[in-house]
Amino acid sequence: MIEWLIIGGGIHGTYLSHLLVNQVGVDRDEVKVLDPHEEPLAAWLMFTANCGMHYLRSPATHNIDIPVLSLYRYAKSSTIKSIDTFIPPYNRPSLPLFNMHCDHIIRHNRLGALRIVGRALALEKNGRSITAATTAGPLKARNVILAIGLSEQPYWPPWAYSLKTSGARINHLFDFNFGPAKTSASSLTVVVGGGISAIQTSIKLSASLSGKVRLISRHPLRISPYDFDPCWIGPKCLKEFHLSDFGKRRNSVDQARINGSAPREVMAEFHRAVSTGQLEYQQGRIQCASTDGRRIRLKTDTDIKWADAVVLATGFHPERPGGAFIDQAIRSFSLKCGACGYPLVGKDLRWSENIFVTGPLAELQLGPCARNIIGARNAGRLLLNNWSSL
Amino acid sequence: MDKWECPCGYIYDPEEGDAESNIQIGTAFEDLPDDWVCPKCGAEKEYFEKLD
Repeated sequence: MIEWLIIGGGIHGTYLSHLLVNQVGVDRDEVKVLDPHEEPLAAWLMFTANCGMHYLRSPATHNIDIPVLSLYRYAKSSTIKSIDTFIPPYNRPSLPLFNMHCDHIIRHNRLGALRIVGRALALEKNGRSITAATTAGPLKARNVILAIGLSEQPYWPPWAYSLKTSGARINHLFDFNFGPAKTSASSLTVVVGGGISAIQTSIKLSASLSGKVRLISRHPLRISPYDFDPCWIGPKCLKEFHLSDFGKRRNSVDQARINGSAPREVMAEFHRAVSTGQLEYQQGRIQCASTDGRRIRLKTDTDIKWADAVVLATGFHPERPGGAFIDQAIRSFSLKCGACGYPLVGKDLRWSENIFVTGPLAELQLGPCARNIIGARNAGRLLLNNWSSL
Repeated sequence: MDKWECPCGYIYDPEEGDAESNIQIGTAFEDLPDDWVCPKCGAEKEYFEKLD
């Protein structure tokens, strides 16, 4: 039996494994990270590469190492002198810098050795411990941290489902097998979405595909440096949030996340691409779609467009992540959920005696920053604050 | 004078002070009142780290 089993090896799971071993001092042999991907941070690396991200939206202090200024110090090391480093406002790292730092922290701290490749199937109570049934065999642990993100639930709008089943050239940016369809010079690829991923993807495709690219967004494109107000990282907003009931917290989280926006430098790049004719923009709501077997007909609230390929950049489905695995755990441990389906957890992020949550599953405690990198750091702080009782 | 950074990403720069909290330009981080908090997230001074 091990002391801690972390289910999910993305940013959150990797950071918390690092924290447990190298800050708390839990023996390395007592911490395991279960994840279906061979490489740490696989979903992060794939999604950020797919959308052509250049700079993160979060500052350098939001990183996976324990010292808050670790990324700055790494940036000063001789090995990374040749790449872009930071961009204002605040100091937001370039994606290559952030990823190199992650790789450095994982290698230097041998976090990869904590990983088990496999998928969790069920959790069962086993006296005072938990047995996880997994595709890698049963794993028995004193405590389990559920660090499951939204990566396996890309959002497909209802109009897009029928296209998917009819074999049309449509795919989602956040599908693991994503690859934009190769197009000819006279073709049109439509990107659907209005957030930073959609804008970045349309810029990237307009530069790489030989045909035209058009972005269709339901709302006007908005500029915002953040995807939530930084007040949600600390007591400025969280104090009142924690005084409110869970139903109200769900509304606060939904209202606080600034969806469908992008930082100024991304918007500037977008406008440059539009001005050169590489990229077109249309505001409109797609109502239905069909295919003639070759092209895709998109009916918006203003017109009808024919596209040769469609790329969805419509984010993730907002439902509770974890699917059937979490459903089973809820039944097996009688875990409490809010009306929105998300876990009701205390300030120690404890969902039951020895099950803890982080990431989106901890949204009703961590607030709107739960799914971001800083959400992992805040989760770690809460676990440490309550360490004596764990 | 040194700059200090909050975990949220806000950087206290003595050359800018903090007008929102009536902190004069030129005030060193060490001279900020004990009850001063990060104007962005509300974190207390103890959470700040000095930038190299």
